[in-house]
Amino acid sequence: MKGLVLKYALPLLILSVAIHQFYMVYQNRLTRWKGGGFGMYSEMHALTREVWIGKADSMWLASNPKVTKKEVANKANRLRFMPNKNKLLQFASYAAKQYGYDSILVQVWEPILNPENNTLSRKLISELKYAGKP
Amino acid sequence: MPVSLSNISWHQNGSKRLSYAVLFFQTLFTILALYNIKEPVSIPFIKLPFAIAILAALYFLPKPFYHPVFWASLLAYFSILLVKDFYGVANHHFAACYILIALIQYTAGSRPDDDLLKFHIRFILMMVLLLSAVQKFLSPSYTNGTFFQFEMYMDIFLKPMKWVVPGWQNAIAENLEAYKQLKAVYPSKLETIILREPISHAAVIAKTGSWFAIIIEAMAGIALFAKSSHRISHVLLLATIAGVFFFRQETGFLAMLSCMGLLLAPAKSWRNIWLFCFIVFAAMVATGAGLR
Repeated sequence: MKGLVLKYALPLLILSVAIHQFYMVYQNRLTRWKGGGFGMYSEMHALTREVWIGKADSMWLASNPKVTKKEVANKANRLRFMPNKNKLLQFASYAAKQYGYDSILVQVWEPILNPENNTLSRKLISELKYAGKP
Repeated sequence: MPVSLSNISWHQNGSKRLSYAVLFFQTLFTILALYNIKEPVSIPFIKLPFAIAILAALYFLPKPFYHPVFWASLLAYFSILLVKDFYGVANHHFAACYILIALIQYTAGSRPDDDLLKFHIRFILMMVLLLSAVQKFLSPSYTNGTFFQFEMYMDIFLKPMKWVVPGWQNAIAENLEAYKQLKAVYPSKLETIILREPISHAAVIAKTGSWFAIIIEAMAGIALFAKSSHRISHVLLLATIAGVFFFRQETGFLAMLSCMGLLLAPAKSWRNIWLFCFIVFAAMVATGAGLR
C-alpha cells in the first residue's frame, strides 16, 4: 500500500492540477498559457488583449500608464489573463472608485487575424457595465 | 589529457545503477537557480533568506544533493511563489515543483529507488508534452494556423528567418508599426490593418507548422513514457526541443526538458547530447540571450 501511494501520489497531483486548469479555462476564462496546464503558445497571449475603460462616449486604454492610474493599470493587466464576469466586476468597482464614477464600462478586446486576406482587427471578448452594484 | 565531453567521468554516488544521477541534480539545481534569479514574481524578504539557507545547505551538508532537506528547502521556496501567483507563474515553475517532489521522495528513502525516480520523471515529461499537444489541439486559433501566423508577423516566432529570407525584416517592421497605430485607436471604430506577409504562402506555412508541432509533441510524450530508453523516443524529444528553439527561444523551459532527457538517456552518447543542449540553454538564460 505504501509503495502504491509513493508511486502514484505525484502523478495524481499532476493530473489534478491539469484537470483544474482545464476547468478554469472552460468555466472561468483562464488563458491556456497559465495555471499549470502547459498550454503556452496554444492561443493568443493574454498580453495582446486590450482593456478599455470609461464612459460609453469616452473610453481609454486601461493598461496605458500614461493615461491610467498605476494601480488601475496593474489590475487591468492582470484582468487580461482571466477576463470572467467576477474579475470584470472586481476590476470595474475598483476602477470606478479610483476615478469617483458612479458607473463605468469595462471592455476586453483581442486581436483577430483573417488568414485569407491578412487583415488584423479586434474582437470584443468580455464586457461589463458597472452601475455601482452587481 | 584534453577535456572533452567523452572524458567526463559520470559521478558515482548514492546509487550504483543510476550512477549519473548527480549530474541530473547539478544541472537541475543550476537551471532552478538561474530561473529564480530572473524570476519576476517575488515576495519581499523571502528571496534572500531562502538563498542563504539553500547556499548554506549546498556548502555545509555532506552530499547535499542526496539530502531531502536540500530539495525540500527549494520546494518550499517554489511553493510560496506558486501560492502567491498560481495563475501567473510560468508552466515550468509547476514542472520544477513536480521534479522537486520526485527528488524528495528519491532521497528520503532508506535507499534510492532509481526506478521510482525514472517513473516520475517519465510521467512529468509525458504530461508536459502531451498536455501541450492537447491544449494546442483544442484551441481553434492554433489549429487553423492564425495564432502561428500572428506570432510570425509580429516578430515573435521564427526570428532567425530575418537572416535567411530577403525582405523579412522590412515586412515585420511595417507590421509592428501598423499594429502600434491600431492599438492607439478605440476598437469599436472597427479599424483594421492589412499585414504584410514576410514570406509567400505564410498561411500554409503557419498551418503546417502548427499541426507538425501538435503531432511531434504528442508522439514524443507518449514515446518517452512508453519507451524512455529507446533512441527513437529521444530523437522525438530532440526534434521537439529543436522545433521550439527555432520558433521561440524558450531556453529556461528547454533546459529543464534537457535535464529530464539526461536522466532518461539510453546511453552515454545521449547523455552527452542532453548535457550539451543543457549547457547551451542554461548559458543563454544566464546571459539574457534566451528566455528564463
